[in-house]
Amino acid sequence: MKTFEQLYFQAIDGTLDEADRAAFEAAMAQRGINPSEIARERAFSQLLIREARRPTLRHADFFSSSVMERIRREAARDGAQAVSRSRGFQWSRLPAWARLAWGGAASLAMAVALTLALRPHDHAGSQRLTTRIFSLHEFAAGMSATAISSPVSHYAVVWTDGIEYIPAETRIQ
Amino acid sequence: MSGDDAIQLQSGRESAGTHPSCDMQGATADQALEARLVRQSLEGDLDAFGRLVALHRSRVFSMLVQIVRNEEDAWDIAQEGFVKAWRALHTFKGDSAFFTWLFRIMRNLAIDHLRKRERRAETRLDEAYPGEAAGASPAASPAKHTDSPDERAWQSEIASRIDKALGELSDEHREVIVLRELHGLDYNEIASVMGCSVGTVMSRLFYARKKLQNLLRDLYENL
Repeated sequence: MKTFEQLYFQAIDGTLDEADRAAFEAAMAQRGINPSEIARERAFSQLLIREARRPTLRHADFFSSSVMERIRREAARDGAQAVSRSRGFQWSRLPAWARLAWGGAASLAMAVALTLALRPHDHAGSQRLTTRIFSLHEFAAGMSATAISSPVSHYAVVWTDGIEYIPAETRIQ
Repeated sequence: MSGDDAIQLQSGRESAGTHPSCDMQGATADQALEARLVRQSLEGDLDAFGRLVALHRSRVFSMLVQIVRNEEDAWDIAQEGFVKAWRALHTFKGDSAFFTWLFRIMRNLAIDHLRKRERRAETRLDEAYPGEAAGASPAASPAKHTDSPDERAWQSEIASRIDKALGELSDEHREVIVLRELHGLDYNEIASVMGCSVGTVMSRLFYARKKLQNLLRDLYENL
């Protein structure tokens, strides 16, 4: 079922077929539109076609060269980006197995790093020194000693509390 | 494709004052040429795209000026539109004419521009539109060049009245009048460009014509 506007423009365009003509004439009569209106509509279209201004593109070649210059710049930039993308590492371009392998390797590396970072310090040296200090003196309730050593930096620090002195003949190694 | 082909087609499209609907002969050949240029452009041939620009620039510009009613804005929109078309060329499937696809891009840019301009509450379009002084010319037949000065003055007056009346239409009504009446796009093409149904196009056109006839009543009643 065609709308009145469809029939109206078919009539103006001269493409109204016989089957639709009767329906259109009935619709025109119902709306109180004179059939001569169609001829005036056609004339109105002709007036617009004939008399309306058509802005002309001046400096058309400059227009084109300006557009093409912009496109060339973009194409060159896109090309450069594509080259840099193709040279660089791109996670999304890796196949699934490679992404899995990379992910596994990265997880393992992190686990190793965490283990090393959180590993308790080796206080064996400190324990040994403390033991030696204690072995040289009788235990007293008010005595305490703390020692740390660094085999890498070759130093040892001993804190004592309750000991008045360490005998001169004692060497701490 | 030879350069001559493009030049021949270009001269047909670029000639001012001819209604596009009168230029339908050889449409199939034009489409074949356009399809070839599009294909070459997609393969990275910038010269082929340059020929597409040359084929359509005048018509695009003319339509844009009539829609946005400012030549500088139309120039900028057309420039942007062609660059955008280049970027989006891979999305052109060939299920519509290239011009329809191209002008849909231009039209969307023009609508965005009009909305921004409305928000900025700029000067009314018809005040800014330089009309004939800036190079617009009535769509005159070659015979008009021999008209008397009085007739030319009268034609210029009519053209000014039509311009002014077009400026008083809403954006949607002006757009549909420009596409259909001034540039002869068919209803399907207009629907595709405007992104609406053919029924909506016809309804808008019906009311746009009535409004325009009211604005040009004195001219219209002397027809």
